[in-house]
Amino acid sequence: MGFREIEATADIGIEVWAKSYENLIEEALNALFFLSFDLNNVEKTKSFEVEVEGIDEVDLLITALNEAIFLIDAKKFVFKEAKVSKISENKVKIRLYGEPFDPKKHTKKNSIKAATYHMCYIEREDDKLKTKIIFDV
Amino acid sequence: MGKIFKKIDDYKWMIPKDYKPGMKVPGIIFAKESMLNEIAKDKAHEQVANAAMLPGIVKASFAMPDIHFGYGLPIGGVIATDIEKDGVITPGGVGFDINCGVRLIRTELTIEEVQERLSELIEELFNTVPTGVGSSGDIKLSRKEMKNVAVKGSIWAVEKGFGTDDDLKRTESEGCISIADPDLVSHKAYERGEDQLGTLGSGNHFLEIQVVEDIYNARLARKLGLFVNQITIMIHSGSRGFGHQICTDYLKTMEKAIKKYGITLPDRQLACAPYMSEEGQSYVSAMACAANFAWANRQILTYLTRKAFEKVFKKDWEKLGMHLVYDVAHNIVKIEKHKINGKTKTLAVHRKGATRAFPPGHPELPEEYRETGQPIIIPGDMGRASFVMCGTDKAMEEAFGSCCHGAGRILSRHQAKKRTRGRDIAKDMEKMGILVKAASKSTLREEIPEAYKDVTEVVEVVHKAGLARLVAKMKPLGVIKG
Repeated sequence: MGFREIEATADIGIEVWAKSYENLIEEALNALFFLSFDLNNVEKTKSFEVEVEGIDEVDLLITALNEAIFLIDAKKFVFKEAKVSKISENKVKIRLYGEPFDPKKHTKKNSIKAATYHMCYIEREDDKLKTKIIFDV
Repeated sequence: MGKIFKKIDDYKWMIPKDYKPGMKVPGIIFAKESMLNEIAKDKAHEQVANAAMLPGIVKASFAMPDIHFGYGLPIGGVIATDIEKDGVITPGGVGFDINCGVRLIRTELTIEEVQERLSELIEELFNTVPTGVGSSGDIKLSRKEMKNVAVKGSIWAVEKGFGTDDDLKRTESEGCISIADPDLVSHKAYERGEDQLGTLGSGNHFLEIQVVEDIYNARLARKLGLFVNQITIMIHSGSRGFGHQICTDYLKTMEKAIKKYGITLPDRQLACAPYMSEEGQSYVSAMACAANFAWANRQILTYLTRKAFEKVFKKDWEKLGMHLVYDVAHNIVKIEKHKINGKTKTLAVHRKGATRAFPPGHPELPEEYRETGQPIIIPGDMGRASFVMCGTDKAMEEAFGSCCHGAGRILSRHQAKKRTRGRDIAKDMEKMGILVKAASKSTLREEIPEAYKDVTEVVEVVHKAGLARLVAKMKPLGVIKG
């Protein structure tokens, strides 16, 4: 489905739509990648697989985003795509595709410190899910 | 507006306790009337009201005139909880950039001596100080050494030759919170921080060469070693990825803790635990590690700045008089004693985008500032001005010895970028007589002066409200940014 940027005074906010919960996490991760890098030059030569847990759907979503932020900052990776599969009610498996960050090749856009829980909710409407997330930058 | 804010005086407004169900204390915002519209539009007052619901909160949920919308607590927020009465501690009252803060270095150089060398200086600083998104420094630390930094803070940096004992004395908490426990910090946090010590970072972090333009209080300025036309250097940075990860990790701990302790909150970002609980104690000990890392970081940035000046002026930094005036934290929790209704209480004072402002005579101040009160460093935007103030007794009586931390944003980064499409900000700044060098052009567009409130109005409110006394005004000459 997709996402759009929303106003947040000192930070970056996004609104995300998706057709399933797994897809919602994927789209939110895509938004994070889009906000962090210019994705035009990013190739999918490597991948990471991580499992994340949460106490509920919101916690799981925010935890997934923070896991990707950790990998970007600590492992110095650039990601372009994410595939999410549910393991159980409170656990998902995420595969992140991208490549090691190369300052000559890649352009960073924003340094995102974390995804916040601030006023985060997940809304279900017909066959669509919607969420709002504020990132600290 | 009248419905939300009740006037106490020209610089103090109250959000009454009955504004929202669940508020345990009123909200108090230090602002002038013309600022209230912007605050309400931003919905920052809602965050002041939300914080008033935290268990154990005392007196009021305060906000300084640089208040703007944050997450959990607003930026500019100050709250204190009674730790002996189940008062909580919340990472949302500190923020991700634990011990983000500012320091001011004075020099004996005057504008006449620096003006001609300015571009050379900025170039040298930009080459010496690592800047930018996730930038790595020259220092890569082993896990053991990282733990030493986490425990010792600036003391570690000084032991390694990055500063002096005088630097420590002129740093809040002497650059080290002693309750740090490095074993309560995750591997992830160590991994994220291991190559980021001695780096400036991106966003609103900066290193700025300034000139003292105005002195408002000659006696205090003299005591702080400040004079008109003097060159000063301001450094704004924090705990980098190390602190961000510690906050992320402990927010998850707190998410579980609110269920365990049956705490209900209007915003999950305010997730918290009683200060005395296992979760509360773990967070504060890990937060102290990040705070210490940030102080060591600003100390190393000071060292690099001194090196760059030495290279350009071919003189030792001591001969250039490059002494630290003071270093303040503006995202932190401190355990402090304050009087509430005549009784001395031990409180967990959360300052998020707010600065400590201790009065003259306070035992935590270094000897040389006992008479002046604590120096407060207030950075403005990169085009206008920055200020030095000193803490007062009134700040102690009214707001747990706190004041503002900067200008406060009014435009979102998104709006700022929209507004500056096609503009070369560095060129625009040069026309204003300010040299800017940044790792990212897009950061510069987000950081345009008009994205911020006028810092002069912010410090005017703080001064007139009596929370701090104006000492000096500095104008930017050259800025390096991430």
